[in-house]
Amino acid sequence: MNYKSLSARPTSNRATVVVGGLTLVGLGVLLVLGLVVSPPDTVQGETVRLIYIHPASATMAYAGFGLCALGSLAYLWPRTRSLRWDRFAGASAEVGVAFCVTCIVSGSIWGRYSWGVWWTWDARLTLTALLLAVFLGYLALRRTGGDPVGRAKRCAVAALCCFLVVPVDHEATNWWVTLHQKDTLFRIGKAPLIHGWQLTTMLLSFVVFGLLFTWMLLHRLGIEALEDRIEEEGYVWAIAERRAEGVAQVPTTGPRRPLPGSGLAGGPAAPTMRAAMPPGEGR
Amino acid sequence: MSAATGGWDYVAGGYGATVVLLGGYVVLLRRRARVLARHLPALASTPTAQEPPAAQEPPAGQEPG
Repeated sequence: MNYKSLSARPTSNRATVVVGGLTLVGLGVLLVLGLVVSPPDTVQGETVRLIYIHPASATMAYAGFGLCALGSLAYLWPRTRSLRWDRFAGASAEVGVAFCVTCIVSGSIWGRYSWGVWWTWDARLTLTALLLAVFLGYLALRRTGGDPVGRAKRCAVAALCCFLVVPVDHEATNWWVTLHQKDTLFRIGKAPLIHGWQLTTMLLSFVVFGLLFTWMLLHRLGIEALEDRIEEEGYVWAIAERRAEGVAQVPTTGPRRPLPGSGLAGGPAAPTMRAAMPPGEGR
Repeated sequence: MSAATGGWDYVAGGYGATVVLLGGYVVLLRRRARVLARHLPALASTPTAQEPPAAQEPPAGQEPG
């Protein structure tokens, strides 16, 4: 392992470079289309340009929470049970929370112009805030200690419960009378409410934000892999260190007592950390 | 204010907030990754266990045990 290159770009690989490059190009094109090419709206004026970030952020939040639920389901399913799915669920939820915060903040700014208030307890807004709160709780639950397997099971069940808010939040504008506007693009049996450059730019925003989401998720998964390696290697390191201390105390020359509970005094020389590592990175 | 600018200030606020929030998250991710990566070489360079020293001969004239 080349640790020098690892320190420079710890979570980068070919996939992140490709996706990151596409994301940068896409963001540039989106900015030009959204701020220059796309015309202002007759009703909303220039603020219609917020439609190129707000719905895409909401969709990516849903995507993150949906992937979290899928990962949790895969973990709970006996045939696919693996802590990799648990880590995937945690990473997806965290990226989803980042987009959910972006959605709420950009929507609040839009609401201030359109409705005259930064916030109102409208059904859609309230449910989105609830969605953010429950997934923040899920992330907090993931930080609890204890047995990793038991924690993963608890978190998987919690994630599935949290995900129940997503369809309710999405359908809130159809089920209740809300201040928030109804769907603009995907209306069953009806044409989209926007056309031309506005439609093109909005569709592009979903693609670009999807790329950005993927790039963030890949890096977040890389961090999970790093944490796992440190946990594994740190554990093996601690064993090797204790063995080394125990071995050093075998001769009668040293006044130090053996480490309490180590049970390793007088044992054979500890292997190097690498040699002592269990095969494979995954647990 | 918004009437004078046609809503551009809100557009700037929305885009700016998005850049700050998502950009901030990306910065946090990269910082976490770098901090973690710094731990790996430290672990790899940890001194390994020493070979057990050879058993010492008892001093001359002294019976063991």
